[in-house]
Amino acid sequence: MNIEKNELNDFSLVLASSVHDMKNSLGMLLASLEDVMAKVNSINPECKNDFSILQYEAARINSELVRLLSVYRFQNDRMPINVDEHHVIDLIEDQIAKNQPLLTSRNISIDIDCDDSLTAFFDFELLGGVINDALVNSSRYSRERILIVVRAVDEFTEIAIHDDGDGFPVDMLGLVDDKTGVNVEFSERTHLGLYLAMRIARLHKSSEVCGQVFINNNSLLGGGSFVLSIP
Amino acid sequence: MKAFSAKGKRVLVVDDFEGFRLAIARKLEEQGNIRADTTHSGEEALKLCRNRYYDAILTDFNLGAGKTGLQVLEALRFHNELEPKQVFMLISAENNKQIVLAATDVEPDAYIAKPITTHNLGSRLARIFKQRKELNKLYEYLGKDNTGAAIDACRQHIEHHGYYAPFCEKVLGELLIQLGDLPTAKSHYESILLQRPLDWARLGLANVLVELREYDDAEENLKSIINENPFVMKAYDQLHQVYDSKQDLYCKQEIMEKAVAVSPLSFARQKCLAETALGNKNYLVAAGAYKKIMRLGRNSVYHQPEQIVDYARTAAVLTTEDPEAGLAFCKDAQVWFGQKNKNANSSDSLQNQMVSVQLLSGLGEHAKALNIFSDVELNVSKIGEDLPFECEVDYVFTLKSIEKLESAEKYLISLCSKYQDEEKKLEILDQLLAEPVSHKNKAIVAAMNRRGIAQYEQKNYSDAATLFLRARKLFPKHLGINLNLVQVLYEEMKSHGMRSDYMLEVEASLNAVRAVIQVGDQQYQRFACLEAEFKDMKSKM
Repeated sequence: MNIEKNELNDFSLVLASSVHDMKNSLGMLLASLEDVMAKVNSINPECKNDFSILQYEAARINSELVRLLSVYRFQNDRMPINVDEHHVIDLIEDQIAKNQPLLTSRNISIDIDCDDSLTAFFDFELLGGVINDALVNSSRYSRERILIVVRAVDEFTEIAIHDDGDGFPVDMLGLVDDKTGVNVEFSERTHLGLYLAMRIARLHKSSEVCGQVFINNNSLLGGGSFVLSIP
Repeated sequence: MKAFSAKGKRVLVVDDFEGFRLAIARKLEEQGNIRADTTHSGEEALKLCRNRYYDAILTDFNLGAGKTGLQVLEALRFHNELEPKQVFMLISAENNKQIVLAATDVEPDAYIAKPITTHNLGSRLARIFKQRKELNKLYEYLGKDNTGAAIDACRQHIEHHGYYAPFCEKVLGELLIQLGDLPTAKSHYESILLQRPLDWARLGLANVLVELREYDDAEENLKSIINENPFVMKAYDQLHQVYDSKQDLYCKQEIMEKAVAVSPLSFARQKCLAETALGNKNYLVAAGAYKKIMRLGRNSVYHQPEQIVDYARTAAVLTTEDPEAGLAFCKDAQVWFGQKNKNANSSDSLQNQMVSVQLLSGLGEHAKALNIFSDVELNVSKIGEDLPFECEVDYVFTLKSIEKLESAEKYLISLCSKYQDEEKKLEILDQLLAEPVSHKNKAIVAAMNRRGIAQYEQKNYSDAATLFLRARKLFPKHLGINLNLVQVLYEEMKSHGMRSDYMLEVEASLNAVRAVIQVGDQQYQRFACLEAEFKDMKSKM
């Protein structure tokens, strides 16, 4: 029993350390890319599209690495959460800032509709990861605009990310229950990003209710909407 | 995206990767109008911080060789070189902040997960500088340790529904405790908890309960925090304090063992575990913790050369209980001990000579040990009555290590009588004694005995045996504890059948009693009965 537990610990550390190494390299890659883009764009605007692909793929690798580690932690009950009261606008602005080079390279404009004074109770880093994933995804499918709307609805705070793309495919919409939101089991065919968003949302609890994730094609911009709702 | 400006601010960027730190610094200068200095190591960062005021210090967690980013923070806080309004921002590749922070015991002002972009860093810095500016008065009072004024500043911000009210609520609770206004602190946390069971408020309330000496309630709260979120490290620290106050030595060690499992890089917690385990005479756990302390200590401000001496002594004592494990620790300790003496050029000090003897005995190098011991003996007799107390204690350990047990016992008895009115010294001597002489340890053993008897009376023989075994570990020759242990083990075997491991424990206890009891002693009759019963049981096995 103890041996198994130690092996679990060891693997968790090895996995985390590998993911960290890869993320460090990725950080260097992204920083260099930003530099090169700044230099080359002024001379050769045609490169822009190539750069935007590089930006997107690097962001995706990062998301996948974080997902990998998160799934492992969820499966082994080692996903700590630290809920505190934060301003929602800070969360949104942080993630937009993180993805600014990607958004700029893809010519996507982004608008926020959020009361600056609105606060909610959540884990800043964990929810940041969910918003980051949703933004990277939206930036891939949007044509030119993303709109983030934050509202306090009853006892929930809702963060909706609308895009002007073609919307979610029908098979993904089938994963959503009107009342309980996205409901997916973990399997080889799971949409990992959606699964993790759901798991992280559900870690956020208040009395009897917990967080939920919805996706739909009723976007205010005509594409898809990703809605994260936390109590 | 809003442009960010922090004109006139000066920041320090610390990263061992040159390309990265230069890129960050350049962009902060270009885009944020910030003056940015850079350096590659924690040690250099500390020097720079001593020479110049930085509004913010941004450091990567992993700085290659030398100190980590968190050890830089640890050193700055330890030497009181960081004003409250200065921002310490940690950059790490780990997305889960709590996992990084749980590993240690210092908390940065801000945390940012990689990969970072300059936009990202800029917007975060701008936000923090804005907060510092708006709460300027509060930070000023905190910097001057003006608790009363800082409390007023917090209250004012909260009453005006200021943007940073959630932050002020947290600070307010801590300040109220600092001021000693426990009833107000208690109701402050309770009102927050009515809204939401936030970990910091639950911890704050537990802290108040500890201060109010309501230990049972504090214990219950802290256990439930850990149960729900095992990464809240402060809950372990507070629980350790609760068990210390309740003089529950076993739980005190157990909670620190759990804490270091979650927080393996915390020097302070490993040190706490080593000292707690030593107090419990659990040399295996203590040696394990000291071994970690040696490695963590290389870059820690908490490192002291005495810890190497403690490690060596503990490893040597362990060889008498568990030769195999003890030998491995002695080999490790010898490397550190050798380095220490080389660095400090202090190998000729008496205490070092004594610990050398102990270590060499532990390593099985008896001839060398005896050789040094002859110098020790000479020096001890030369210094005579003026021998410092810590050397006197080490002399007993040294005598025991070379199996001069009778001389050790005699010397120990003389120390007990010499320091009969000095409680703290008696507590230290208890480490070497089979029965306690200090008031504190007498009370602890009495309490353990009482708890064991209570379990025995309720016929919970197995629980009672566990308690007496723990007590015997502390004081192996304690008459009452040994006899009680024998009695409960008999009852347990009568109820659930004979067990050879219990019989061995019984035999060990009877042997311990036989060595010290006299025919006329009060307990002699009881001992004789229990011994007769043992012979009877053994013949039936």
